Amino acid sequence: MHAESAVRAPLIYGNKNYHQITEDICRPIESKPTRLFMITITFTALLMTWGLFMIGWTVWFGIGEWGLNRTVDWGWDITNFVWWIGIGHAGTLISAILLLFRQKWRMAINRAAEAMTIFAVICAGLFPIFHMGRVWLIFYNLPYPNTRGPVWPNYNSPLMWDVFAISTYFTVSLLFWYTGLIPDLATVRDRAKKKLSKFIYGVLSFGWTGSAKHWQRHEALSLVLAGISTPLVLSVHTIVSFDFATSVIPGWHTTIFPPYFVAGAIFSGFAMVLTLMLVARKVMNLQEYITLEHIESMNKIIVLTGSIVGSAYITELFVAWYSGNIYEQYAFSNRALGPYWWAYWGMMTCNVISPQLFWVRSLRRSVWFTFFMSIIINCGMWFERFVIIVTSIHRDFLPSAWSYYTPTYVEISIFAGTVGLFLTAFMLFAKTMPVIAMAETKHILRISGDAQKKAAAAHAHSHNDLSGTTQGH
Amino acid sequence: MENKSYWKGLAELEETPEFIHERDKEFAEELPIEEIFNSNFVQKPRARRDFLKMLGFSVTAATVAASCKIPVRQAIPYIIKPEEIVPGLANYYASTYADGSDYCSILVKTRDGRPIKIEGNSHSTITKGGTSARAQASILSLYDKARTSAPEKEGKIIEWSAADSDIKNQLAAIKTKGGNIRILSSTVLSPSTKNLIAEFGTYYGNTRHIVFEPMSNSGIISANEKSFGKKLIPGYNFDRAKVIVSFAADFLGTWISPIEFTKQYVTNRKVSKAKAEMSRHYQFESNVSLTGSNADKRIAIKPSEEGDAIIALYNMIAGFAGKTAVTGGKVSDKAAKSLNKAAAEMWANKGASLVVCGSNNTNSQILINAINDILGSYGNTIDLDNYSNVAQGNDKDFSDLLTEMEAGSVDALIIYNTNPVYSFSKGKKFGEALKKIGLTISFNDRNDETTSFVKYHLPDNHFLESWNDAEVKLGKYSLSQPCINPIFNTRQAADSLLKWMDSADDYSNLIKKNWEKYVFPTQTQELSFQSFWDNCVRVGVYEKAATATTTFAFAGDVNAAASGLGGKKSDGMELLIFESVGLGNGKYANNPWLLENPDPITKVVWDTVAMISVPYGKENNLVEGDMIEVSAGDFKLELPVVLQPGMANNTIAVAVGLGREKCGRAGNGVGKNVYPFVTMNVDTMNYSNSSVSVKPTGNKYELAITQTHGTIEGRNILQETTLSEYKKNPKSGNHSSEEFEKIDGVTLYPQTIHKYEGLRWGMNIDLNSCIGCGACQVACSAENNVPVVGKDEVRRVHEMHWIRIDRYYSFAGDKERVTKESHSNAIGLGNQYDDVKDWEDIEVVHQPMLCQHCENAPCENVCPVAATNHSSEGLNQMTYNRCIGTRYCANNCPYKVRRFNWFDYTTADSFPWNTYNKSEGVAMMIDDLTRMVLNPDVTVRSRGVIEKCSFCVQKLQDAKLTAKKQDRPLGDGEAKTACQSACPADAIVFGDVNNKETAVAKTREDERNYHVLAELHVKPSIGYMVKVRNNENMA
Repeated sequence: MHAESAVRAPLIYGNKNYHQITEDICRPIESKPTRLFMITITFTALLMTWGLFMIGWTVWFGIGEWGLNRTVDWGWDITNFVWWIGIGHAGTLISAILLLFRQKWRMAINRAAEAMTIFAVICAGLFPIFHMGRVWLIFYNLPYPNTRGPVWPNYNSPLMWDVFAISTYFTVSLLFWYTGLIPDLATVRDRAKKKLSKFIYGVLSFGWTGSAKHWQRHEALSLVLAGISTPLVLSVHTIVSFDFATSVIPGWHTTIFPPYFVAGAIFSGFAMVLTLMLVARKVMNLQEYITLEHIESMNKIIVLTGSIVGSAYITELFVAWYSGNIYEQYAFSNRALGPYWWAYWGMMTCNVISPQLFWVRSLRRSVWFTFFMSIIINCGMWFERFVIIVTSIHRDFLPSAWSYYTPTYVEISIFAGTVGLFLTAFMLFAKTMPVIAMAETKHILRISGDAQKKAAAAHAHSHNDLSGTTQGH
Repeated sequence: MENKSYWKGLAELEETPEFIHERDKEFAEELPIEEIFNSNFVQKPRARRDFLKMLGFSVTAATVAASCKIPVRQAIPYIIKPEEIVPGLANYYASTYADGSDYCSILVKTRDGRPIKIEGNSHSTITKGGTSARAQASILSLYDKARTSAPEKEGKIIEWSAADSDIKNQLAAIKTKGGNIRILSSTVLSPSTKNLIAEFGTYYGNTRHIVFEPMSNSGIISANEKSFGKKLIPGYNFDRAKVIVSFAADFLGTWISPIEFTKQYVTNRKVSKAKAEMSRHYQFESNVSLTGSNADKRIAIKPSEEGDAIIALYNMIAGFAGKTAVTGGKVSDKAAKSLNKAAAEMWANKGASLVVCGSNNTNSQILINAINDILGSYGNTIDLDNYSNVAQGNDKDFSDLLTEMEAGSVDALIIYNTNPVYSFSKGKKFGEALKKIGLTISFNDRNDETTSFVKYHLPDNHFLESWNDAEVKLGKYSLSQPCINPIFNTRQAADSLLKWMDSADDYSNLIKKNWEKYVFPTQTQELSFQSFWDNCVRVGVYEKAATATTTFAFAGDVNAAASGLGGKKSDGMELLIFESVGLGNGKYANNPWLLENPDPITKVVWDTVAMISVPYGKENNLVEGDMIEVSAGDFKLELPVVLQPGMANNTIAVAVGLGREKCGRAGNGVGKNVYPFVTMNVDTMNYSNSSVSVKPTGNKYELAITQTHGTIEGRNILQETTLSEYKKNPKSGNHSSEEFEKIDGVTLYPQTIHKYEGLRWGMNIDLNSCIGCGACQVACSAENNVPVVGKDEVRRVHEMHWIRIDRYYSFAGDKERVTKESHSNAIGLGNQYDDVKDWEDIEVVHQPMLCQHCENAPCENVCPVAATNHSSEGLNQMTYNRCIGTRYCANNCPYKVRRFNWFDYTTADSFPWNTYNKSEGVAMMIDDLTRMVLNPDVTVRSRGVIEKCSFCVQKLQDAKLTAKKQDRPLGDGEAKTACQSACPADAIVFGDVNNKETAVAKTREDERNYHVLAELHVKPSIGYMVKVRNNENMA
């Protein structure tokens, strides 16, 4: 068994033992849904339905239902796509990279973060699919021998790379998440009293018995998936950034995009994890598992990635000036001073200035402040994508073609619908599956539980005393 | 050892016949087909496996059969194939587009009996193969459902025979009682029709023919009568003029014969090293006209200043000639300076200068005649002998007619191709007066504002359904021939007149007889009339040599003219009514192609706007789209404003051509009718008003404008120089080409360089020649089935034009400022120019912008499905059926020339009831009848795909195939794009760049050739020629 410094704050409070962890985490699944839950999920489901209806509307009547025009051919659609994909970055980062760095605090949040990733990627995926003018021909994107020539997709196109990047990311994230869920689902199955839920959880847990062989295979698979996920964390948003970086449009054509996009994605992903977990923690009474230490750790990552993003913004400005390229210079001065100035300054305030407040420890550990900031950061990151996409193309090379873009109610509804979809899916997840990885949390209980920590500290203390005495002699 | 062989058994080793037989069989066992069919197949018990086999087979068979249902489409072949019609091949017929004052000698392209496109006829020495937007769009009016489909009496359909006998009886009664018959028409260019009208007059007696033109030039006619005793519009030769001074004559856009004048004008605007000379062009005007935008120097004057300016010019010229001056008011210093320069230059170029004036004021025109007379223009740049037959409107005759009608002394009125209830300022009065007439007949093609007041509506054929002739200038004859049977139950107007004269002839015979009588004897080449006629029909024109010019003594009274003209300058707000370049006088207000063709200056579509000067707008806190109420006399109109750089201050300019109430579904209620602002002077109509009041109403209006930003932001897009700089260094002004040519072959990816063995298409556009008229835009829409999207969609920046004309402004003589950047209001000449006092002094460039067919096309690599790709001949081609509509290509196009089908504008997608028809214009274009205009060689794009200029690939393929069939290489100029052939200014050159002998290849070597955005290294296939301005020392 690993030992951990007693100086580190415990990650599980409340003097838990294994059984209590099971009880605490299974309670929301086994109790009846509350009134609040029912009202909220009705609302989010209605929102989702409205959004899906608007998607259908768009497919039927055409992209003209959106506010796009001959100069601005991407607007809220791709903004939302990049935003959701960014949010989806927290899950893999927590599961894979923090695993490699052996950050134990990830145990409390990884399950929810991974679920969030999956739902965010689903939301994200809707946009590139339904922004197509002829979505019914989506299979043209797929490389398979066909009767149309055969005509193969264009492997030079970053959109083609997106198809692979996102589908791979989704598949691996889903597998990773589900693999982790199996032992916990088996726990729920074993505790289930109703026949139907026993059957469903039985099917979902794939006949897990908890045998040593099962655990061994489970661990091996988790490790393999972590290995696959790690490069994905970096590659997905890198490839998404190529959608812009490989173009010729000033404001898009930038080599800084890959690292800047990845940092931004993690930034927004953590903000979204915080938004969700702060609510879940309160509603589901999980304060003992998702502690202030967890919140503070995430806030530290937010300061780091927020600063990377801020430096990237300033680097862009510097490079635009230093390049001497008049188109580049115009693109950036137009961002700050042009008709979309509000989006730029919204982005700068939300993403560069406000996260710096997290250098203050008390703010980092304030639940309310963190919740507020998580919303601000999500808004800021949305603005960032909007600024990059719309502000760059609405005034590009030939002034004769310049135009302005405002979304229509259809686009806004679709975005609201994806928020509805995301929240509905997350709430269903929270109600039916263990939001905290039970098995993994139990792994760290003996190292990071408060009672265990105290005991270990007491033991170490006495040991130290003893040695001190010995030395004194 | 490698030949060692193994055998399976003795039979194989010995190759017994049984073995060979068995070996060559596909199936080892005989298929039990015979057995199955011979046995009692159905009743036989079946094994389980057989059941599965049969199930599988029958399900598959049913699926295949059921899913392959193909709709049965019957193609009925000709039983007797007409000799000249080959399905799939186009026929061209020479014809003439003559409608009122519009004239263009044309070729009509027909496919399977349908006219689908109009091209210019290069045999004509008048229009020389050029066309106008209206000539191009006139074909769409053929398929206009708003045309009346059958003769009507008081709104009810009637038989032709019944109508004829009715009318004949009434005419006979009028004849017996000696009543007055009046025929009111627009300008009639046809000598046969004129002849016929005269004969009709003799037949019935007491008949007069009155010509009404809403935008009249009768001032010129009466001035010529007073000056030279010649009651006519002279011929003008802009090609012989080295110095042109125009007082508000928009001769490139709307004045008298714009296609002819454009052809003439550009001959002296094209510059090359061999001919580094250009004409000088001064334009004094209030609004920014198409012509003014092309002038070397345009001086903004208020309409009321024009008289004084003309007098000042007269006095200067008279001073040079030692004649006495006339009295007039003072002109502004700025105008005086330019007038001085212009006068001196014209005097130095006596006989090669030309002054024209767009005013309908007889006094102005007398003074203009006097100036031209002193300058020796007559016989050189103006030709009174070879006069023009267009613009024959006579305002006095028309107002006399109205008086007669109101007095009740007209017994019959026949209206032919004119619509005064709409286009006359007192149209309502005219309509009321119509009711007093016993017999009113209209030949108009639709139940328009005037026709709805008449008793008999006997719709005329469309000109593409008719035989006709035209004499646009003395001795310049041309013929129209029908290219399709009448679509509706209509009859040619002339045939109706013939019927009522009890003539056995039909009009086509009459024309032939007339030509035999009058035209055939004037030539000696053809011996028989039939061969002469056949040749004329084939060629479309017959042109006699010009009559030798004679001298005329000027006999006008300049003092009287000046006293009636000078000192009128007012300080208040003034109003100018002008003719729209695209829509003309309003006859074509139901033509969606024209409605959606942007105004060359304001770029507004589908609307009537009040152009006001920028300082006026700022003083009164007006921005684009604010509504103002303009009132003059007892007429008021609320109009949206456009802040127009270059407008004379305190002046409002509004174009006629819209505001129709009864023209058809596309044009009804679009824009406002401003004809009621026109006033009547003594005997001419007056298109300006110096006592108007303006009141902002506080309302807002969203205009549909295709270009909202008007400066180039200091970018390399436009390159220009001056003539003297060009003479010193032909490369002057061309900043970028040399720098970028150096890196031309530099690449990290040599394998991606295109080889272009064989043909390599390229284009060149001369910015000196392009006048910005917009004919190319309509031609492109017609050739390539480009959809019309309607006002709301243009407001949403969804217009679909494959070619657009970018119009950029700069402050004249302020080179540095132009390059500054601004983030400003809609016109893009922002607040930081507030310190620039002279908003009136601007320069304009028109730059046609279309797909540049880049060698390193940014659109090609980003398409995930390779729907846009590169041809071996350098075309960047769109594969519509491959496109899934990600629009990445459109984002990545630096020229923003790609267009997305946002809605189902064309009914080409397979979804039912989702067609975009919120706009009446679109609804008209998707009508089955109107769709007959579609070009069958070009795919009609469905919703959700990107489209763009294809360099008219269908025409290129056609030219290549023709050459191939004749087993010869493709000649230069055989393959032409639609924009190129429509251009009246010959601004576009197109061809094979690989062949160094072609015109376009030679432009590549020219020092003026540059590529827009060459710095991106996308290597466009279109070169532009640096604009050379001849604008030094013009004050």
